[in-house]
Amino acid sequence: MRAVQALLQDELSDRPKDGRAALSLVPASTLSPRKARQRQLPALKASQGLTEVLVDGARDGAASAFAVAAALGALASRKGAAVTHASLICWVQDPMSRLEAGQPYPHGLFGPDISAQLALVRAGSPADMLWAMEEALLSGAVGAVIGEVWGVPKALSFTATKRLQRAAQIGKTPAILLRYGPAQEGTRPASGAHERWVLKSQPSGPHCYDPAAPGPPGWHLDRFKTRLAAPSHWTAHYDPETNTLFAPNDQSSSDPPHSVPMASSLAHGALLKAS
Amino acid sequence: MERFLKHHKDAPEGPIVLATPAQHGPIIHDLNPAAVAEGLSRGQRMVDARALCPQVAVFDAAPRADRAALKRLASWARRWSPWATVDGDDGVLLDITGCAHLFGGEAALLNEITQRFQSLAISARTAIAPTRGAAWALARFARQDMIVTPETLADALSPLPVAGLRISAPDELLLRRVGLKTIGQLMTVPRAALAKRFTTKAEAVHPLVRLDEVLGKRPAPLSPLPHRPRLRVLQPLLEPIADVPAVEAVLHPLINRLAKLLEAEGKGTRALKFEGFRTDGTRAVLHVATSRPSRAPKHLARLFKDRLETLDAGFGFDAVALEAVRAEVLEAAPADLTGVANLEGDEAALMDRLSARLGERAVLRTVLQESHIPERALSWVPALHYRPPARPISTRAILPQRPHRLFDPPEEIQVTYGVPEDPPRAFTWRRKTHKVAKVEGPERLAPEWWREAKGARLRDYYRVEDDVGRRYWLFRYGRFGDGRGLYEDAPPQWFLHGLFA
Repeated sequence: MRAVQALLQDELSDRPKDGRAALSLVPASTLSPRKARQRQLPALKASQGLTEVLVDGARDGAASAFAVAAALGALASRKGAAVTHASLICWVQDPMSRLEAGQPYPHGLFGPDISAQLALVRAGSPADMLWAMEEALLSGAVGAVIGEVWGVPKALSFTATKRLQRAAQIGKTPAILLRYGPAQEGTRPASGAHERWVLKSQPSGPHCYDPAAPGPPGWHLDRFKTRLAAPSHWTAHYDPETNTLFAPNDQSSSDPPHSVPMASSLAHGALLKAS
Repeated sequence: MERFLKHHKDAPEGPIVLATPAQHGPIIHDLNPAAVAEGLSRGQRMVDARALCPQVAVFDAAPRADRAALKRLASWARRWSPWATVDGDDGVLLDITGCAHLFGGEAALLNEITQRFQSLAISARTAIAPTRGAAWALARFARQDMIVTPETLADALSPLPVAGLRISAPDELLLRRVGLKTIGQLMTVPRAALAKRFTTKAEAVHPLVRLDEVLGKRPAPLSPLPHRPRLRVLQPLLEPIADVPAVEAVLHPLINRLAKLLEAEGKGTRALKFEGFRTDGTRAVLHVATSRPSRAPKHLARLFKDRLETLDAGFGFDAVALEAVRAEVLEAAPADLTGVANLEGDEAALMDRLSARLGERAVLRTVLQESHIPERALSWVPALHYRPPARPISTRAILPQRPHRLFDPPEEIQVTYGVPEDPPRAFTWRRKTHKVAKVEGPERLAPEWWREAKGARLRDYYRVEDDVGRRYWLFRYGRFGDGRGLYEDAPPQWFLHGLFA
């Protein structure tokens, strides 16, 4: 009982730091229009608790990128407080999501620099996947836990999601659950997660060198359930370099190139051979 | 030979030889007295032996099993002296300095050893001598079991053939040819002459060196078999137990006892074996492993916690045992004074727990590899065997964008294109057609000729966005007219390899 009380107090004390309460500290009029738009976009930072990301089918890579972005955001904000904290990300897959949606590819998710920081768990069933997530969350040894589940398995009931939410709070570790399944309004399964999103790919912005190439990825983010602010949705571009979102009409001139241009890839083969 | 006969009770009467492959066909490894009577000898070629004695029965020799048996025999011989070791392919050597009086003197000890071997149905020749080399020679070449003192050493050795000096076969032949047939004759030859005759020989097998060893003028140390106590604890039970909580209740004291044993040895376990002995004489076994040596009872108990349900107790266990199958050195770490928890340890403990329940192959870490082929650029290794790299490898500067998810193996797609060498206009993946809106590429990855088969084709990767904004990683496998397809002039295939954000 005392634990629950403490948690509730935590939540209450968190409240002013996040969401709209934080926004009100800076009057909107003093911000430049671009800054203001930036402010309205959600921060890519998973809260301490369960964040659910619903995806419609396995063809969309946006959700996994979003999950990693949120996990990295949470890690980065944590690093400031205690540098020693674990930065390992534990990624748990159930067998169907692995078959249907492939496996995470660290080179793309983080760049090769920190790819050693991913632990992949291939659970044999959704129930095992939930157990592994819970175990990782409660251990407090990992920086974030990302789970993936295909469809709406029986094991992933409302109670199970509440359990995960509790485990994430007790272990003080952000948990992100990717659910491949119904994402339309009215078909979404009930869940005890404190934050729920629907992610969808949108056409990308213009590439800085090549007008015919896909540029910074566009996402449609729908946060339809949250405890800290009103449900809202955004269309934005993702910048992997800074791990932030930016509004579509802001990336015209000043944005840094978000990827190595293809021209350098021609030299890449030669470089590898020479090294 | 005796080991063979013991395991083959149905072996035929008459001459039997054990053959072993050699450079020019099989040779005789060992043989029974009946075969010796037929004129066969050790080291003879099998073809010659068959010509001499057509009715000989031939079996394969098992030198490895023989060595293992000899090693077991040496450990067993530790009952007489802690300094016991295997000597060559056919002997066991004991240093009985200060041990003989425990068995009533050297003669009584020799008697006991002979009797014990007889009761094992192993014919053994024994000898006690002041030096290692002398004991070796006497056991093999003396007419009866002997006890030699330093005073009688030279006399006892004199009649033995020079082969008793453990010298090489060509040296022995040479000595016999010059008429030095016994050790006694060799001892009378001036040392300078002998040393001159064998100048090119390696020092260890030099006849003079051997002679000195036999006579005790030169040390011939003996290294005993390492003594490794089994890290195993056993708990017999008064009443058979069958349910999980009861097994758990007996497991915890077992773990504590094993942890104490490990601590005394300065070791930590990497693999644990739990055995439950059922009342009907069968056994249930449970294995768990850890990613780094550990002897923390709490951690070890948690590894078993989720697995005990899978244990089939049958009618109940009447004894349980726990063994550290693999133990590694684990220094006692001082308590952390900084107050920061040992996170690396926590991480390893988590990986252990996940691996214990889900299986070793289910919990993986990434290791970067030197390859530009995407699926080969990193490998997934079991977390139990993962060692973090000494320094982080950074290749980001030269790598173009890589997908966030990867399909391994890549999935084949059907494409529509305007010009064969161009990126596709549309493609069909999993029975659904996607129209291509934006393309970047190609990024050409050549096959790794040093690794792949000869017909491997190159890959042209494209980053493609469809009309609803999803981004894919496609590649064309091969080129038109590269002559490397599955058949003559096979067109390139197309694959979908990954998804981008």
